[in-house]
Amino acid sequence: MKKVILCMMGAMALSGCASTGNGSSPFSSLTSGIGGAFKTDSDSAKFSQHIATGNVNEALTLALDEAEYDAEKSLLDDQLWGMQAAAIYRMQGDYVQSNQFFDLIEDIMYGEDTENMVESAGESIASSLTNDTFLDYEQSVYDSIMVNTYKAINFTALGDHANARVEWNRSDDRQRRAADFFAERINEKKDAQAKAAEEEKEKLESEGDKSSDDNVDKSLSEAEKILAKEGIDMSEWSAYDGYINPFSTFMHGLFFMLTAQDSADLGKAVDSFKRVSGITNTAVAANTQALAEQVQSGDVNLNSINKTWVIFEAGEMAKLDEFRIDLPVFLVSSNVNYVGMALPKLVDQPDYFNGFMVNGVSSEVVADMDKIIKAEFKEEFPLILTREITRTIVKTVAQKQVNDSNAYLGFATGILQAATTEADTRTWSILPKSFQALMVENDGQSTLSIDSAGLSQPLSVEIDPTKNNIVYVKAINRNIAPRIEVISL
Amino acid sequence: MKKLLIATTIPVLLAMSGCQSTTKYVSTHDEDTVVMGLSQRDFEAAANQALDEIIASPLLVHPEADKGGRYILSIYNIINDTTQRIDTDQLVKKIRVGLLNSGKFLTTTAVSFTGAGPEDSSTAKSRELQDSSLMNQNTTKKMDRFTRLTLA
Repeated sequence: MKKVILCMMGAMALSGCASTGNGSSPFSSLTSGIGGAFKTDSDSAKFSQHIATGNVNEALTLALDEAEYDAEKSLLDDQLWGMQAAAIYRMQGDYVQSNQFFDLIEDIMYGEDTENMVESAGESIASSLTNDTFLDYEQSVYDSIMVNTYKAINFTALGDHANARVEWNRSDDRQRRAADFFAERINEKKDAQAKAAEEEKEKLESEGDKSSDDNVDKSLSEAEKILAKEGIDMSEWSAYDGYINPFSTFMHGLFFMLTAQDSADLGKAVDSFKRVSGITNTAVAANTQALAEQVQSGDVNLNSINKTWVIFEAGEMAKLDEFRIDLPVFLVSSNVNYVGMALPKLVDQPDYFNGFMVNGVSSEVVADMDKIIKAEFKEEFPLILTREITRTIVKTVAQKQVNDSNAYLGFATGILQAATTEADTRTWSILPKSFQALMVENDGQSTLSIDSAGLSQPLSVEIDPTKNNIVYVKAINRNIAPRIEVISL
Repeated sequence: MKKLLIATTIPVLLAMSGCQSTTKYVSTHDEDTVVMGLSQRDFEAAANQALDEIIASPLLVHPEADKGGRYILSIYNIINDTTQRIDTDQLVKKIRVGLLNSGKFLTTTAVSFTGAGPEDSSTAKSRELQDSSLMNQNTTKKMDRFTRLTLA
């Protein structure tokens, strides 16, 4: 037990450096983490509840509280909640504030990407005694792509095309690196995991528990059977080609086509549309591609184009939910009070809208966020599972040792183990279920009518019929009136 | 006890070394300091290079230079097509000042052929004063006062 405490102290000291806060004591992240670990789930649930009931302002207040935004020092303590807040600011049309948050988030993401070994190891030790919610939120690839995408759209809406261009270049760069990043990251994690498991085994062996060698392997194969019984089958889940988010690529193309400064910009636009129409097989991407190619070849003058693209951000992305299973830990003794583990699983959210329609043209899905999150989760899950099993064995061995010497303390340790067993279900939940798009010719009317099965009455949008317009609609559910922004270029 | 001491000291040392800050100011002229990616110095060097080449170009010498003839240059905006936020207007300004200081050119902010307009918008703004009732119209710039540009 002394060892466990010492180890925990070490982990506390180490994880201090991993804190995203600045100037705080090294212990602050863990102390807040202890509180945070047990309430994270309920806060996420509360946030979802606010969104479900249409209380966007309360959801924003909650996100700001959790993000621990320090306006004076311009610091965000929690990346995930910062992203939730920034997305709501964007929804509310406060682009400046939204981008201020997204900028801070990008700094944190950069820190996570380049986190050094000592910090990472410290975090892992802390989490091996507790659970994954003690780790800093590590952004998924789709998170980072969306941060730059939202920033770019915010800048475009503000009319700041120079900065929008930088953000589109960043998002494009992230997309380009996504496939490499995945291959590399997964290999790295597998190696690190194997090494950690090896070290755990050695530690357990040195404590005289010879049979623990097989524990991880045996438990892993048993766990897989249990997962199959739970109906968790990820075999059908697959990523878009190259792990890209085609919505981001589509908007990238639209920006470079409509604000083209030279032929290189038009080339970028054509490449983006080609990629999206190849992946999604949609008419909106193919038609926009054809248009971009005509402009590129000089057949059509950019100034003579007079279209409106309507973009829909519909519903909510699949969310992670916790499920607990009894783990068959193959220990020599059954002298333990609690052996269980908690794992995350993806739960699809309902689609309230079932497509949109403008002037007889139906929207098409240019990016299915459920598909994207599932593909990335599928890659992560084996690592989450191995980590959870290793962790459960470490905790259970500790519990058994305490129980052997003192039954009351053992009982207490069992309760502690149960309390610290929690799945990491953090996701950027305000992201939509799908991104949809359609393109219509401007018919001289300054009002556009958007209809959907999920809308009680058609939405009426004012556009500039003399310009190209991007109408951006975010419709989460039936309790929140769809937010509409019009960007005329 | 010794073990306990070692076990607690190492993590604390690691924690302290991990949090150590080494931030300090570095002169933009200090060539010994190299940063990852592009820095202010790279931009200055690029602007200086462009400037030197324009000034040295024999094609940009006005045929009546000895009688005080000067070409008037309109400077395009520099498009920042990188993943970094760079104030390219500062670079344009640097080039503009360098061109004027060379004594070989005049520059204009009255016209620009790129979307965002010239980096110095005062000419455009002063034109708007032509319709302002708050200004003495005898002192505002008139539309017909600009020199016609020839495209070389």
